[in-house]
Amino acid sequence: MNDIPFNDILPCDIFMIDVIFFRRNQMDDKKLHKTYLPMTEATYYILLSLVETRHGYSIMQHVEKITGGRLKIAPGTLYGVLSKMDAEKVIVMTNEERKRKYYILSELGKKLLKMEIHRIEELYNNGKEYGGE
Amino acid sequence: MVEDNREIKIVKKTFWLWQDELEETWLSDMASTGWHLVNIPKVSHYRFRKGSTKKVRYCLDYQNVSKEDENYKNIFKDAGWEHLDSMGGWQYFRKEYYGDEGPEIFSDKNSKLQKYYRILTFFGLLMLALGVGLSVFSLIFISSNTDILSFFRGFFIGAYSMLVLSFTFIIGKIIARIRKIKKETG
Repeated sequence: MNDIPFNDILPCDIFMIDVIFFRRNQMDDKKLHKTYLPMTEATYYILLSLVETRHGYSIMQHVEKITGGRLKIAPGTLYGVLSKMDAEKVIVMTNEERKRKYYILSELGKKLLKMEIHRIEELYNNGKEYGGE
Repeated sequence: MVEDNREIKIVKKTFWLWQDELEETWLSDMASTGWHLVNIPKVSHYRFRKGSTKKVRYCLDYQNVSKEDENYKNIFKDAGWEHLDSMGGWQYFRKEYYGDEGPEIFSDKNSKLQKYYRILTFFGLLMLALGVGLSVFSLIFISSNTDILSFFRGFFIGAYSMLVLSFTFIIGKIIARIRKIKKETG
């Protein structure tokens, strides 16, 4: 784990009481499911991008590329998700280069992404089996 | 320098926590008359510079990041936004129109709502701190038996009522704002 420099701790991190008390890393699957799923489209694609180490703008570009230009994540949305997921240990910072932070999924993040993909798979399969046509 | 001074003006303006969108519109309107925000030298003082009239979009984010947090600014900069300054937790960004539709710093409703939740949290904690501070003070005064007690009792009751009233009003306004965004489509 990286040491967090003191001036990087935001007031919202200090007061994120739920993280301290509920220990998200030790939640069971049911609790995780309830807390994090379903994800917003932006959160899902941001986590999907962080299977590899990436920084903010490269996440935006990657998402735009793999959705064929359909989904353009705006910077306020991106920073909001990254700072929240970082504080909740869903992603971890790997390094900082040219004043840009690089992140990758944590073990918890990998697990959450897998759970969400599984959920979407069920939606898709049921849609195919029972939906129109 | 003299010439430069003529083309710079400082406008004093305050806005309520729930009126950030009006502030964005006002700044854009200023730009359409040729006045462009340079920075905020001190609280509620906007410095503008005269230039050509432009169609630009101003957006206010609410993040309590330090002025030196380049990582935060770079995420916006890479996406074509110019960070002008910050005031309190408000972060001022600007981007030129590309076509008819104004650019946005939030691409979904959820993240826009998160911004107002951050404002609520910060403001709530501030009020809580004020409330606790006031309680401690009043306890000290009540436990001391002096002639000025009755005066201070009146003072504390007044201060408490003011605090509770303004707290209810402001929180109510922010919650109304959140409800409105929730009802919007998209």
